[in-house]
Amino acid sequence: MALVNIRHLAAPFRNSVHWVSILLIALAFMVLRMSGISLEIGSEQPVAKTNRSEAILPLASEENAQRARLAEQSRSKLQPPSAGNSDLVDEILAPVRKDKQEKERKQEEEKILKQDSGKLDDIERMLGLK
Amino acid sequence: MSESVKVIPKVWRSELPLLLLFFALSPIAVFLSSRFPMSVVHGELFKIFGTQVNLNLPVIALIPLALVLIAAYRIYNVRYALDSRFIECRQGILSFTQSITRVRYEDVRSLESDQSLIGRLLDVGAVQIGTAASGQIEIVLQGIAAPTEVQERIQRERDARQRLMKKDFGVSSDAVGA
Repeated sequence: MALVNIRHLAAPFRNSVHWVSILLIALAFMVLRMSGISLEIGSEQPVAKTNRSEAILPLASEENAQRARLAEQSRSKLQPPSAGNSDLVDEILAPVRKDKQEKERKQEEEKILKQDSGKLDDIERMLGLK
Repeated sequence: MSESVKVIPKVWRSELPLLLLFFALSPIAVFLSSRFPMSVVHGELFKIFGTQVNLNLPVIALIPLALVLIAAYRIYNVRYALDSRFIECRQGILSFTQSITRVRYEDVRSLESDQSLIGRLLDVGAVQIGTAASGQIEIVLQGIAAPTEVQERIQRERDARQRLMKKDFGVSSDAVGA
C-alpha cells in the first residue's frame, strides 16, 4: 500500500511533457472516434459485411434465404457504420438522407415481419403444432 | 543513483515535424473515412460467454495514430539525468534492449550544443558530450529544452570537480614532499 501514494498518482500531471502526451493521445482517440471506430456487442452473430448473406443461411431453406435477402437489402440501404456512429459527421454531411433511409428501413422490416408471420403459420401446420 | 538527480526530459517540441503531420492528416483521415465507408473494416473481435464483440476499424485513421505513437516512443524511449557524480543516458527504455551510459563530470572533455534555426526559435536542441577516454562523443542529449543552459550546468559541474581535484592533488603532493 505504500506504493499507492498520492504523489505517484499526481506525478504525470506535474510534468508538461506528460500533459502534452495525454492531450495528444486524447486527440488521436477523438480522430479515431470521428472516423468511425466502434465496438458492437451482441448475442446474435453479425458477421463481416462481405460474407453476411452466407452466414445467415444455416438451413438453406427458402424462407430463410428470402428473409436473408430482404435483411441484406435493408441493411445495405442503411448508412455505412462509419457514418452511423459518427453522428457529428452525419449531421454535417447528410441529415436528409438519414431520414429517408430510416423510413425505407422501417417499411422493409414491416414487410419482412408480415411475410415471416405467414410462413411461420405454414411451418407450424406442417409440423402439426397447430 | 543518489537522491539529487535532475532528470532532463526530451520535449515534444523536438518532434515538431511528426506533430505537424499528425495535425494535418487528422482532418483528412476523418473526411476520407466518411467519404469512403469501405475503408472501415468490420469483423468479429472475439466471442466470450455467448456474447460476440465486433470491431469497426477505420484504416485511414490509423495513420495519424501511428504518427503520435512513433513520436511518443521517441520521447519516452530515452531518459537523461544529471546526478551529483555523473551524467546518465538511458536508451531503449521501451525496447527489448536498454543501454545505460554514464560519464563522470571529471571525464568530460568536450561539450557541444547543437541547435537548428527552428530549434533556436523553440529553444530545443542537443548537447554532445565527449570524453578523453574514447576521444569521441559518448553521450548525446537529443531533443532537450534549453540545451545551452544544460551545457553551462555540466560545464560548471566539471570545472568545480577539476578545481577540487587540483586542490586535492596539491595537498597530497605537499604531504609527500614533507
